[in-house]
Amino acid sequence: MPVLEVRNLSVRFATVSGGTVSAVNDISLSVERGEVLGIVGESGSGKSQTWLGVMGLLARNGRAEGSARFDGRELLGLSHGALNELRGARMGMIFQDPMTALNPFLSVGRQMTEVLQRHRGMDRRAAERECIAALEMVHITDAPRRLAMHPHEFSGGMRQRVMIAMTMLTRPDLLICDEPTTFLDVTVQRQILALLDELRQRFNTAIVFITHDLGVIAEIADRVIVMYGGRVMEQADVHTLFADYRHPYTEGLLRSVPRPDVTSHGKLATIAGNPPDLAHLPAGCPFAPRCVYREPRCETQMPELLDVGPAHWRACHHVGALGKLETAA
Amino acid sequence: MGALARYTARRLLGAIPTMLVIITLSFFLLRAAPGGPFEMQRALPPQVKLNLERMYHLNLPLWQQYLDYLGNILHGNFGPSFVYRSITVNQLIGQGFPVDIAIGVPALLGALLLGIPLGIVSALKQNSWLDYFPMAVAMVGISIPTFVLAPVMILVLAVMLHWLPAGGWSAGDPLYAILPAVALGLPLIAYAARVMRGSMIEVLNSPYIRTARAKGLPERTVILRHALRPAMLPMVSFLGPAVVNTITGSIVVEEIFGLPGIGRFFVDGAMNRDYTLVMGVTVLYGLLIVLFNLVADVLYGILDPRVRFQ
Ligand SMILES: Nc1ncnc2c1ncn2[C@@H]1O[C@H](COP(=O)(O)OP(=O)(O)OP(=O)(O)O)[C@@H](O)[C@H]1O
Ligand code: SF4
Ligand SMILES: [Mg+2]
Repeated sequence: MPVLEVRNLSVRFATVSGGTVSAVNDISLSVERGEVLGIVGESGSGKSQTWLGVMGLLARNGRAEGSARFDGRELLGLSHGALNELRGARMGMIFQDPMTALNPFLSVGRQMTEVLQRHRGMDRRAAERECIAALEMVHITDAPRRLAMHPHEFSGGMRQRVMIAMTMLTRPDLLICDEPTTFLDVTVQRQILALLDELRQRFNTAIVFITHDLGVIAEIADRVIVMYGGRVMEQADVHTLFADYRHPYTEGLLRSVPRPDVTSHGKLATIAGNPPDLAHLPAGCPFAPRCVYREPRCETQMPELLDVGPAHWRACHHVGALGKLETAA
Repeated sequence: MGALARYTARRLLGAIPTMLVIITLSFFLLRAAPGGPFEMQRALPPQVKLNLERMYHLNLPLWQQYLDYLGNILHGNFGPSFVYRSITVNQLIGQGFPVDIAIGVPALLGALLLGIPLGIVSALKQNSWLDYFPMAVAMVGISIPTFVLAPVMILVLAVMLHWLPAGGWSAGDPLYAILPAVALGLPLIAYAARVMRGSMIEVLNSPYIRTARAKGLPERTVILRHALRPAMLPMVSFLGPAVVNTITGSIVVEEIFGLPGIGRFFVDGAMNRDYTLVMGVTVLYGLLIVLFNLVADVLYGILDPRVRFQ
């Protein structure tokens, strides 16, 4: 059984003007134990809201509909108390900016021990011993002294290590990482990725890794989901996605990654046009206005997510070969 | 705490130039205003006026009067009142200030003790009647000026219902302080509640609150342990302006209720060019404002671990 099974999940926000923003539209996916599932897409494609919806962390004006089963248990509609038994214990989430994600007003030790006090019923002293071990596990030296320090006394990379140590205290089955390395420089980013991989192997924790950096995806993910306009555009294992992508949007994303083997005269291709207005989504394919393969039916008919190979799905009407972007460049 | 003590000492030293500027500016501005303490409607005989001016050293060059005044202040002596002849400014302040304490302290405390919880409840019950109702009342409290609110309260609670005295003062009788303190405090409570609501809502939307929730902490812990302290910071910054507000408000409230506080002296003194009296009250107000700003800064540093006292 997958650790998490999402069926027909939608996330909508009520706007002040009385409208609705459809950030996530009818998504289905699953996360297997111990795997790294990469989630890519441009800014605003619904990557974060999908997982905040699963965790019950949406903003006040947001609602999640559909189904999200964690280890067989439905999460949506669960009471606060029941949800809090799972959050922080069996599923954890770490965020983009470790400076603001850690409470600047509380010591790192306080923020870590409260997790064990809450979920393991430990007293403060026992919890502190565990936290020191956890900090050492993420390769933070001088751990006992660090417990008394506040987040601003750590560097960015160290703070993210603290976040990881804190989230891994309870050995969760699922760890959702929302762009955890975006604000870090490349060497620190690599260290964090290596650390996550090490922890996954050690504890068999499933990791959902959200990023808009395909380079990071190539490095860490087993499987990849490409999102656009709050929908899944393509889903495949990481090798297939890079070698045999079948969706025009995936192609666009791949083309906009700088590649050392292609001299593009220093220019980086980006996908022309803007992401869709989530308050007024088109009836057909959300990518249609920007797609070079667009056909008439694309604008009226939403393409279904269908398999195009073993464990390989895409949502697109286009039948012929891709590669237009390559030749156009 | 060594650092905190040193910081406080340094800030107190830093307040000296501030106070000096306040004193110097008000001293010379006051003298530059037309008229003088002994120019009344019925002119005094020249010899009498000359004698009076000599008695109060007004015949000396201005710079010498200024230096003398500074010297006196250093000894805590605000000099004799020019208008209430036989009484010193120290005595006048000694009589009037307790009245202001009796209405100002409850007003400020009320603002904090009622405004803060009201603001928190509004923030937690955002967009429910527990939010709309207090905030609507607060809006009214802020926008109705004291000179409208106070007479209405007097009319209803004193004149019509006879629950409280309509004005005046009787030392030691708290009944006389109630209406003035409420008139002074209501806008402050309203203001505090709005500040608190805004900061609590902002904090509750911050990423570290999301982290706290992601950790499965119960909502009570999220608010008390993670949100309360950062949400209090704007309240601390509110303290300085609140004291200024209480002072200016007290001048109006004293006038309306006919209270013998120092705001009264301040206004009368300014009318009559009672130089020493106006200066004395100005220095006292200045000291209070400087002091509370210092208290606010120290509190801020205690609440926020990122602030270093150096
Ligand atoms: N509280 C909210 N009210 C209205 N719209 C919201 C709210 N929160 C998010 N959205 C919208 O939902 C859409 C999807 O947001 P999401 O955070 O999932 O994007 P993302 O793919 O994570 O992008 P990024 O790479 O920028 O993090 C965005 O267009 C955003 O404006
Ligand atoms: S469905 Fe049509 S518009 Fe959408 S990606 Fe495929 S070809 Fe492009
Ligand atoms: Mg995001």
